Amino acid sequence: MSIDAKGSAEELERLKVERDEADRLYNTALSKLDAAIQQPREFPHPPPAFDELQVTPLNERWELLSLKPDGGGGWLRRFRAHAWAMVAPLFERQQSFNAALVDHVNRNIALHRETTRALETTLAMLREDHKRFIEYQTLLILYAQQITPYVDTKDRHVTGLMHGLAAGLSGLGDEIQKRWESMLARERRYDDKLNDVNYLRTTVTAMQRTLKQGTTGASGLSAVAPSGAEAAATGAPGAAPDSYKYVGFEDQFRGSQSEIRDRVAAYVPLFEGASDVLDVGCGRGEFLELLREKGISARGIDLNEDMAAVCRERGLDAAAGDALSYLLAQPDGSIGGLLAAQVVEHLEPDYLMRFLDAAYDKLRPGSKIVLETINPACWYAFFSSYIRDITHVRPLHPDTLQYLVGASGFQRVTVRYSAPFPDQSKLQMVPASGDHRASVDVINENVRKLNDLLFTYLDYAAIGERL
Amino acid sequence: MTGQCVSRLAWFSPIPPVRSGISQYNRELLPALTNDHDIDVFVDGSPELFQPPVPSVRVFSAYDFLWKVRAHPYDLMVYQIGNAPCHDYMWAYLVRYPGLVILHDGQLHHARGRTLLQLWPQRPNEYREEFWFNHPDANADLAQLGAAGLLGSLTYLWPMLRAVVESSRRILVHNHWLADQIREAHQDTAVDAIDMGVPESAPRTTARQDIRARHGIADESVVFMAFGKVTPEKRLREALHALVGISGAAPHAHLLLAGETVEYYDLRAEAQRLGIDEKVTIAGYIADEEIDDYLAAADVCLSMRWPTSRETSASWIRCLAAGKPTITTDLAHTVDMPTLDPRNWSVLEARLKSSPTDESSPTEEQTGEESIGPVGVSIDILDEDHSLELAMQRLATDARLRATLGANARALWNDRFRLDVMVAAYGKVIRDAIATPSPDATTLARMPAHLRATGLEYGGGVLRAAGLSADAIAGLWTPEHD
Repeated sequence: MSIDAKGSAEELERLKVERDEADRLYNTALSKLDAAIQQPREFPHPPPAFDELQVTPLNERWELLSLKPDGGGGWLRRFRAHAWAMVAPLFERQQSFNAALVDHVNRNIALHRETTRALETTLAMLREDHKRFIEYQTLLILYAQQITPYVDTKDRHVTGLMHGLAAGLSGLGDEIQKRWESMLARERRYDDKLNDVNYLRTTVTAMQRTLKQGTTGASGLSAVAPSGAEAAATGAPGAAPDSYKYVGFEDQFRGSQSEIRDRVAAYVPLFEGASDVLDVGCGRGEFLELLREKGISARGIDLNEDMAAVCRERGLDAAAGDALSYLLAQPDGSIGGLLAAQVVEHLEPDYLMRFLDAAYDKLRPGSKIVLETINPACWYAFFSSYIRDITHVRPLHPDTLQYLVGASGFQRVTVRYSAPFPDQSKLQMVPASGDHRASVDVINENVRKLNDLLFTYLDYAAIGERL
Repeated sequence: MTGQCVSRLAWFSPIPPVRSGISQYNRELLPALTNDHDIDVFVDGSPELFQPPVPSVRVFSAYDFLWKVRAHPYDLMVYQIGNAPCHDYMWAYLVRYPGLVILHDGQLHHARGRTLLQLWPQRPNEYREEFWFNHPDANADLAQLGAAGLLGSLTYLWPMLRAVVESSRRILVHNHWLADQIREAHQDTAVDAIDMGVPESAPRTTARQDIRARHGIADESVVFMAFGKVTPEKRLREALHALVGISGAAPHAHLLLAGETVEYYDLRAEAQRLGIDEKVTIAGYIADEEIDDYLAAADVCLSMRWPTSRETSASWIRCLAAGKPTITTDLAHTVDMPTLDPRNWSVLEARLKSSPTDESSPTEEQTGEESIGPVGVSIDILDEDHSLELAMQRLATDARLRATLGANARALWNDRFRLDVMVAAYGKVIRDAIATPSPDATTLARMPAHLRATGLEYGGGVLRAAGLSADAIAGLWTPEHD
C-alpha cells in the first residue's frame, strides 16, 4: 500500500502505540501470573494413632460369670448359692454388655489403624502434589519470561538484516557521492577553463575594437568617436568629446525630459524609504527630480560635465565624473540605492564587472540596484534604438545582465520589461476565414512568432537587492 | 579602542578548554576583534570553566543570555556553528535571536540527527518535521529513513540548512563555492564568504629535533603528519596502506598522528596487523601551543577528508602557514587551491570566481600578480589508494618537490589566509550584519514548532500543574523578528 510520508509517519506512530499497548498488556499479564503463584503451604498432620492401651485388659477382664462360687459346703455354701442366685442375673447382663463392648473395640482396632494410615498417605501425596504444582507454576513463569527474549531473537534477526541493509545503503551512498564529488571537482575546473576562454575572447574583441577605433580616428572621424581616448582606456561610459553635441543628440533621439521623466518614474517606488540614492548617468536629472519630490535624498553622477551642470542649475545634487572612480571613493555601505538608466550598454565588459563589484561593496544592505538598458532581444529596439547611438559599446541581453548582477552578489535579481511596442504598430493578424482556416492559423502563428521576436519591449531593467 | 562606535556582540562559540578546531579559531580571532567590538561570549556550561581569550572578552553561561539581552540588547548575535556536540546549545537561541551565523560545516544534518534521534528524549517526530521543512522538495519518505537511522552516508545529500539560513540575518562561510551553493538555494539571505585566516607559524628553534626525539623518530625520517582527531574521515587507514606500499621505495617514511584517538577506530591495531607498527607514531592530543612545534617536525602534512561536510580545515591552513606541502582529497569546494595530480603530476587549479562578497580573495586579474604554484598534491577520491601511494612515494623521495610545494604553500597563506586579512573581512561582515534586518515574523512562523518554542510553554505547564498561573512568565520572551 502506498501512503504519503506524513501518512506513513502517522502509520508508524499508530504501530508504535499498538506495540506499546501490547507490551503493556503482556507485562501486566505476566505480573499477574507471577503474583498468582501459590506459595508452599503447611499441611495438617495426620491424627494420632488409636489408643489401644486398655484393649488387652478389656479382653482379659470382660467375663464376670467366671466368678460364680463353687465348692464348699454347709451354710456358707448355701449362703453363697443363695446370694449368687440373687446377683447372677445382674452379672449376666453386665457380662453381656462387656462382651459386646470388647467385641466392638476389637473389631474397630483394624479400621482405626487403616484410617490413620490412609490419612498419613493422603497428606503425603497432597504435599508432594502441591510441591510439584508450585514447580510447574515456576516453570510456567519461566516459560512466559522466555517469550520476550525469544521474540527478541526474531527481532534481532530482522535488526541484523536492517543493519546490513543500512550498511549497504550507506556504502551505496558513499560510492555515489564519491563519483559525484570527483565529477564536481572536474566540472569546476572545466568551468574555469571555459571562463578563461571567454575572458580571452572578450579581451581579443576589446583589443580589436580599440585597434579599429584607432584606425577610424586616424582617418579623421575622431570628432564623433564614442568615448575619446580616456574613456576608451578605462572602458568608462562614453561621452562625445563635444558635450553640447551629445546633449543635442539626447534631446533628439533619446527623448525629451518629460518623456524620460515618465519612463524612469516607474522606478521611484523601488527606492521608497531609501536615502543617499545614486543616479549613475543622471543626464538632465529627471530621476533625481522625481526622488526629490518624494523626499528621497539622492545624488547624480555623469561623465558629461554639461549634463551635471544642467542638473545643478535645477538645484539637484550632481557631479561630473567617472562612475566607477566615484563609487570606489565612497565608504562601504554608504549608498542607499543605485539607478543606472541607459548606461550599462555604454560600458566595456571589464569596466561593467568592476562597476558591479564596486556597487555591491558600496550599497548598504537592504538597498536596490536598478540597471535599465535597451532590450536587444527585441529586433526593433536593437535596430531602431541601440545602433542609433554611436556611444553604445555592447548590447546586453536580459539573461546576461541578470546573470551578471546575480554573480556579483546581488540577490532576488529580476528582469522588468518596459516601453512595450505599441500593439497597433505590430504585424497584424489575418482575420479568420472559414475557407482558409488552416492557412490563416499558420500565418497568424507566424505573425505571433515574428511579433515576439521583433516587437516586444524596447527596454528592460535588471533589478537586484543587496542583502 | 578606536574612536569609532563600538558595537556590542553576543558571541556563541566554544572556546578553550573545549578541544575543537573552532574553539582554537575563536581563541585566535576574538582578541583581534575587541578593538571595534564589545564582546560577551556565551558558552555551554559554567563560565568559570572556560578561558577568555583576552580579559576584555567576558564569558557567560548561555543561560544568562535571555536576561542579559532583555536588560541591554546586543547589536548582533554571532553564532559559530558546526556539527560537533559543543555547538548543540546554540540551537535554542539562533532561530529566536537571528544574527550572523558562521557556518563551519556545509551540512548540519549530523547535528540535528544526534540531537533529535540519539539524545534523550528521542524526538523522531520533530526530526521528521525539521527534515521536511529543510527539504520540502525531497521525497518526504526519506525522513522515515533518517528517523530510523538508516540514511548513513546519504545524510550528506540533505544538509538541513534551510532553518538556519532563513532565520539568520546573514550567513558567513569560509568557502567560496559553498557560499555560491547557499546563495543559489536561499536567495533571500545574504551570504558572505571570506578566507579562513590563521596566524603565522612560530615554532621553537629546536622544535623539529625536540619533537622527533620525544617520539623516537630518526632525523633522516620523512615524516608525514596528520593533525586532529584520529577518525576514519581523515583517511588514515588508507595512509597506512600506502605506507606499506612505499616501504620498499621509501624506507624512511614515517607517519606521525598528532591528535587524540577515538575508541571506534583502532589505527594502532591496523598498523600492527600491517607490520608497520614501528613506522607509525600516535602522539595523542596536542595542546594548541605545541602545534607549530609539531608542524616543524613534519615534512609533509596529510589533510585528507572523506566524506566531507564542506568544512574548511584550519589545520590544513596551518600547514600552509608553516610552509609544508600537503596531501589533500580533491574536493569540489577546494579546487581553487592549486595542487598536483599524482597520476601525471599536472597542475590542478580553478581560480576563484570573483564575487564582491568574497572579501579576501582578489583574483589574478585584480591583483595583477602571477598566480601561486601548486601547494600540494590532491587525491581523486575515485582513485584514492593508487593516487595516495603515488603521492606519498614521490613526496617521500623528492626533497626538491617538497621544498617547492612548501614555499608555494607559505606564499598562498601569505596571499589569502593571513589572520589579519580575515579579521579585517570579519569587521566588514559584522557591520553589514548589524545593518541587515532580522527576518520577518512570517519567516519564524513557517519554522517547525519545536524550533519556535521558547521554553515558556514547558514552564507554563509546570506552573499550571502546580496550581499556579502561567501569566507571570508569559511576557518574558521578546521576539527578535521584525
